[in-house]
Amino acid sequence: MNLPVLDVAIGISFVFLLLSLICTTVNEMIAGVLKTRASFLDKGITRLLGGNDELKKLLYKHPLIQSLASSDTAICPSYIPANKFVAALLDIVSGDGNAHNDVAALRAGISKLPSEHLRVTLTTLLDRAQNDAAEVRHELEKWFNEGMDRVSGWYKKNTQIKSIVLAVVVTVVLNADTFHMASLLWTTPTLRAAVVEQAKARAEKARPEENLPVVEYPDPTQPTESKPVNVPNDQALTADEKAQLAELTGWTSDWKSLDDYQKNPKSGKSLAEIIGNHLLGWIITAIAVSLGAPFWFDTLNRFMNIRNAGRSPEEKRDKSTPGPAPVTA
Amino acid sequence: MRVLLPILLFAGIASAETLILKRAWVENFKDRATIDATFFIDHAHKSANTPADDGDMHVAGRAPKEVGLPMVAELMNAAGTIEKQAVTLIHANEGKNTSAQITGAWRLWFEHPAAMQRQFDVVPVASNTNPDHSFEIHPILKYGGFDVAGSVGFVDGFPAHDAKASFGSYERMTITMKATASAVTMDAKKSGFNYAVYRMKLLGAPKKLNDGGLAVLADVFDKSDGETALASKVRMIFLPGTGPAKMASTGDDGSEYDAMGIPRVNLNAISAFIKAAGSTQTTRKLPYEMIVVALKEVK
Repeated sequence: MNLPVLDVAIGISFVFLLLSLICTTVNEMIAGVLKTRASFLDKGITRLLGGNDELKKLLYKHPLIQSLASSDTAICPSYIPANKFVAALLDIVSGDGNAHNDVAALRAGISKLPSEHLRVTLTTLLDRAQNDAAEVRHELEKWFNEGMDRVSGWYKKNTQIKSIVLAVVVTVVLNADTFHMASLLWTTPTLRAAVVEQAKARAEKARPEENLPVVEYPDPTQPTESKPVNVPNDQALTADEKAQLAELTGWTSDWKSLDDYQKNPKSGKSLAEIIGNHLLGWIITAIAVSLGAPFWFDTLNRFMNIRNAGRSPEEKRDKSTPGPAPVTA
Repeated sequence: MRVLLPILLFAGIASAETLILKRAWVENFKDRATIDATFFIDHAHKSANTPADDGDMHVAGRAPKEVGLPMVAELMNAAGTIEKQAVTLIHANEGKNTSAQITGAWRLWFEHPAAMQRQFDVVPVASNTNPDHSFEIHPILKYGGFDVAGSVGFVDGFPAHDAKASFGSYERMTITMKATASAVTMDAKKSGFNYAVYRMKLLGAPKKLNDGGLAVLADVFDKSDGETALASKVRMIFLPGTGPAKMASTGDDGSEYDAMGIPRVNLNAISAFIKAAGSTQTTRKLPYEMIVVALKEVK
C-alpha cells in the first residue's frame, strides 16, 4: 500500500521515535549522574525512620544492607529487600547479643529510640503483632513495603515530570514542529521516500533487545546462577538518522527569517511570530515524545505492517517467524 | 495534517497486559519450586475435566497474604482416590470463606491476564472458576491435609501440546520490564500452550532448590524425532515429593527424558536482570522455565 498520507504518518512516527530515543538517553544519563533511585530510597527510609539520622547511618552500615550498595561511598543501595531491612533493623534496635525473635528486648530497644515518631510507629506494629515474633517481622515488612510503595510513587512522578520537561527542551532546541515536519514530508516526495526508507531500516531493527535473553547460565550445571545479558547500545541514532532529523527539524530557515526581519521589518518574521507559528506544533511534538520510545517503536511497526500489507509475499518480512537457532531462555 | 495525530495515537495503543509484583516476593520465590498458602476457595468446577481435556480440577480463589493476586489452583489427575477426597473438601469449602492450607507449584504465566493487576492490592472474590489471572498454583501438591503429590504424572488419554508448537511460541514471547525500589512491572501479551510434551537432555545433575524441589538446565528437542533442537538451557523445575523429582534426582549430564511440562515465568532470571538493569525499561525475550509434571526415561 503506497499512500502518501501513510508515508507521512510513518515519517512522523519515525521522527517521534528518534526524538524519544534522544530523551531516553539524556534521561538515563541524568538518572545515572544524580543517582536518583538511591536518593529516593534514602528519602523514603528517612521518612520511615522519622528523621533519625543516627539509626539510618547504623542501618546503612549494617553488613546486610552495606553489601547491597554498589560501592562503600554510595549514599545507600538502590534497592533493599524488605526482609533484609527488617532483619537489620531488628538487629540494631534489639541491641547486641539479643536474638531477633526476642520481643521483650525489641520493646526495650524501641523505648530508647530518640524519635517519637518511630517509637510510636514500632510500638503500634508490635502491639498489632501481639508479641508474636514471626508476626512482628511480617508487620515490619509490610510497613517497609508500604513505605517503598510511596517511594515508587515519588520516583515515578519524578520520572514523568523529567520526561515531559526533557521532551519540551528537545522539541524546542531542535525546533521539531509536528505540522512543519508533516508539511515538509507531504510536499517533498523525495524527502518522504528517503525518510520512509530510514524508518523501514529502524523498524527492522526495532526493539533489537527483544531477541536477547534476559540472562544466561554460564555454567550449565548451576541452574540458579544466572548472569544478566547486557543491553547493547542499540538506541544510538545512526548518521543517516541524524541527517534526516536535521532535514526535518532545525532553526536554519527561522534564523534567516528573523535576520531578514531585523534588516527589514516588512520582510521576514519577528521572534514572536516564529514562536507563534510553531507553538502548537511544538506542544504536539512534546506530548508525543513524552509517550516514550517503545510506544513509537510499536506505532512505527504498525504503520510499516499496513504499508507492507499490499506487497507481494516475497517483499514481506514475517517478523513472527522464529530464528533457526535456539536461544538461551 | 491535523488528523494525523489522533491516528498516530490510536495506532500506538499497546495491547500488552500489565502485572506488578513485589520485588521481595520475587526474591522469595525465584529459586523455589512451590508455594505454601492459606487459600480461600470462591468457586470450583463441579467435577474434574475429562482426561481428554487434561483431567484437572479447577478452582478459583484467594491467598491474600502469600500471593495477593487473583488466582486459580489446579489439581492434576483429579479422579484418583486421594484426589477425590481432596475434591470433596474443596467443594465443602467452596464459597464459604473457609481457608485451608494449600501447597503446590507457583505459576506466573500470562494465560488469562487482566489489563492490570498489582500484587497485594485487595483481591476481589472470584466471580467464576476462571477469573482474569496470571497466577496459579498448578499443580496442587497438598490441600487441607491431603497429600496429592502422587497426582503429578502423565494423564492417560490427554495428548498435550506438541513440543514444536509450544516451544516455538515460548521462544517468541517478549516481556517489557521496569523495576522500582520495591516492585517490578511486567508487560507481556497473552500466552498459551499449558501442557507441552517434549524430549530433554540434561546439562548437569539437578540441584536442590530452597524448598526441596530440584532445578536443572536442559536442552529441549522435538519429542517426535528427538533430534530437532527447539530451545537450549531451559530451566526445568521438579516439585518436591513427586515422581518426576524422584526420577530426575538420579539424572546427570546427558540423561535424556520424555517429559510433560507446564511453562512459567523464570523469576530467577527476572530477579538477576532487574538488579542489573535498575529502573531502565527493557523489552526482552520472556524468560521461562518448565514445571516438569511427568517424566519417562529415554533408554
